[in-house]
Amino acid sequence: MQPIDCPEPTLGRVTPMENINQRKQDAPNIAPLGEVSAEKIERLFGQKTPDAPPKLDPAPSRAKYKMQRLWLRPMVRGAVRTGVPVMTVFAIGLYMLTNDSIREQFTQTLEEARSSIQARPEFQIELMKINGATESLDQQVRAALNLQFPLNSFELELPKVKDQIEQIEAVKTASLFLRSGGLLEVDIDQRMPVVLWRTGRELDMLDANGERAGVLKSRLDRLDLPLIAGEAAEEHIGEALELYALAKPIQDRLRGLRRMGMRRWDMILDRGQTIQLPEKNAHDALNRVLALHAAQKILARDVVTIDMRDATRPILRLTDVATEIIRASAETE
Amino acid sequence: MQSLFETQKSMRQKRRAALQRGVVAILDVGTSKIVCMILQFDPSVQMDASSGMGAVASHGSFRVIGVAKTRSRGVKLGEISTMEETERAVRTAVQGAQKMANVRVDHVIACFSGARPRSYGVAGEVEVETGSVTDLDIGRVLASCDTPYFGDGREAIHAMPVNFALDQNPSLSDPRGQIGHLLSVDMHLLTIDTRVLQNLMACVKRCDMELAGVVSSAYASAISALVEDEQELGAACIDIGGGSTSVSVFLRKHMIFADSVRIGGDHVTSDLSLGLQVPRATAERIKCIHGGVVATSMDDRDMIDVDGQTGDWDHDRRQFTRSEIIGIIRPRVEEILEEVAHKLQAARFDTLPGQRIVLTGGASQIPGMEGLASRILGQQVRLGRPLRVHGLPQAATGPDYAAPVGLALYAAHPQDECWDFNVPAQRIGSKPMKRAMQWVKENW
Repeated sequence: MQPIDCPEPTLGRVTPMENINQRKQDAPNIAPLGEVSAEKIERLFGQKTPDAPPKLDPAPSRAKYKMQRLWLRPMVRGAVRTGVPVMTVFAIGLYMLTNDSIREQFTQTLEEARSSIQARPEFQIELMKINGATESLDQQVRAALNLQFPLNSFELELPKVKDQIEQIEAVKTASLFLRSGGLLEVDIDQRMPVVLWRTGRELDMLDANGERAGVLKSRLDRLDLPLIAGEAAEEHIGEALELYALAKPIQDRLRGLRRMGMRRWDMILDRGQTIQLPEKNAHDALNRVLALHAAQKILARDVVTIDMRDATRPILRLTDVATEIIRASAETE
Repeated sequence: MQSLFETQKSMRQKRRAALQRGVVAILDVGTSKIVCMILQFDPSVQMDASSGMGAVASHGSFRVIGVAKTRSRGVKLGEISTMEETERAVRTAVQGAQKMANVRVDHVIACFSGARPRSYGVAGEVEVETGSVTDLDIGRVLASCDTPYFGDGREAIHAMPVNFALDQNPSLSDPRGQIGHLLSVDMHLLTIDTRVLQNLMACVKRCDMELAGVVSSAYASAISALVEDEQELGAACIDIGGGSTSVSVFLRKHMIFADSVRIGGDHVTSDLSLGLQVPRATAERIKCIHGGVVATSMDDRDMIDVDGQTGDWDHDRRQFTRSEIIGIIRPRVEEILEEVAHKLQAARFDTLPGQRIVLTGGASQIPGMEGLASRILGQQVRLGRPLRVHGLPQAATGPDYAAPVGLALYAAHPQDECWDFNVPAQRIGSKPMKRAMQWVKENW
């Protein structure tokens, strides 16, 4: 029980001085009750004020209740969860596709992004380096490609360039590499010419497989290479080279080999001499001729043709002058 | 009776439909709380849909997948007094249960304790037509029962065939297929105020659901609180709820009597509230924490703080002894039990072979209740808790959940009722024709 005559509630304050100070502090707040904070009321009167009025009715509203029941329908839930997003995306996509300006803008942005990436220095080709080619071939390749550096690597179609290079006759295979630092490296495997093939006025250089490895204007350009002629001569280069090797003793007189009737070789020497070799066993025939030459200097005589086509019956054709002389000597005897 | 007959039949069909879908809600509209339970039935154990209406439908195992309880509002004495408030409370409970179950329910089986139930025992007799008893004979014998005049605005909520007699055999539970000549039936009719039932139907409909069955809570709580022996040998189940106390008597696994006393735990609370001059909420709290019915000398020294919440310092700091509180509670509880004793006496409970009395419901948890009840009602009193049900949370296993649990059991194993049997055509045939004629007359 509180004493009735107590002028103020002591409120647990200990000293009178403290009490007075607190009262001074509280004084402006006491006047209108509406402005006093809840905390202060609690401290002054020892009563707690409710924070918020408790919710009297926990019931859901009818709309909320119906919405919840609707949401519990599996079909509705599925439709909202998957149908609506799908439809929205579809609608937006359709709108963007049908609207020309949006579509143009879209493609333009895409193009810009693409070109901005392509224009980066990492994708620029500054120079081309050609490995494994002679100087003339190097120039030939550069002329054929006709590339203007700097070049964007996205614009360069390497397979096409490779084809272009390989179309040059002196190139057997080419491989291309894009090296970092804007370097286009071309490795070329050159064809090595082993013979010259005279076709009409031109001289073709052929490699061991019979592939063209270039054109010569003059025989004098490559005196080191043997010369062959005749139709389909390029298909028997190996045999021709063997015959050339065999004919080493008479190399200084040798002019070339001519393919006759697409089946056999004629060996052409200077002074208009011809050694007609058979289709088969051309080696043996040539060996026999060389043996004859070694023994009797047969090639130094007035012989036009040595016909070795029939191995059992070699035939010599003499020059007209020699024939005259032989006849004349025969008449005198 | 005819209109309710139709209603009951349509509710029965809705219940079958709901069970086929596998989800049914249970709604116990009580005076102090409203409970909603959502049951999921195992589809593999469900009954064959093609089987007849009359077959005892056994729906096998079920599982409680959602329970929600809310404070009841707008319900007085077990009857809806304010529709709007009750609807909101039902919405709260249903929404909570649906949220827990994550399933939408459309069908509700409801029970309530009010509406002044009144029991009638009726009998019917009929000659068996074909020599052996068929479903049709049972329909005929049920239709032959001469129903008494119930009074204006009353209808039958339960009409259960309790006992069949065939010729000299006086007690058959299912006479179908038996050979005999004279078939007679004892039927238990339970009537209630139609208005209350209509209010409940309207309330459920306003909550967007359909009523698939109505059960008296006296019956529902007895199903869950009585064990099988008690149901067989004779027992009374007394469900002391908030606003009313329902009494049901079982014999041979059938309810033979049901009534209700319109006093319950809420009256104890209001007595305390008046006597101690405290708000109802405080009184309820004091009742639950410090309540009792038997005072001892220890209780005289047990001081209890009573906060009146008026802001008056003196009034809010009173203390009472526990004996004073018991002195307020006890007379009211005695009054309830005496009323129950009267009802049981009216039902001639003392003539039954077994006289077990089972107390259940929220107010049965008052300490000392058992002793007091045995002094007033008879020696064989026990406190009943509802059966264990699959999936029911621990918080919902107390005696105050006897009615909802019983309702769940009822939904799984409904009792055959009068309207489950096809009544012969001549009884119902004329009515539709008459109605059609009337419609034609009114509209042309």
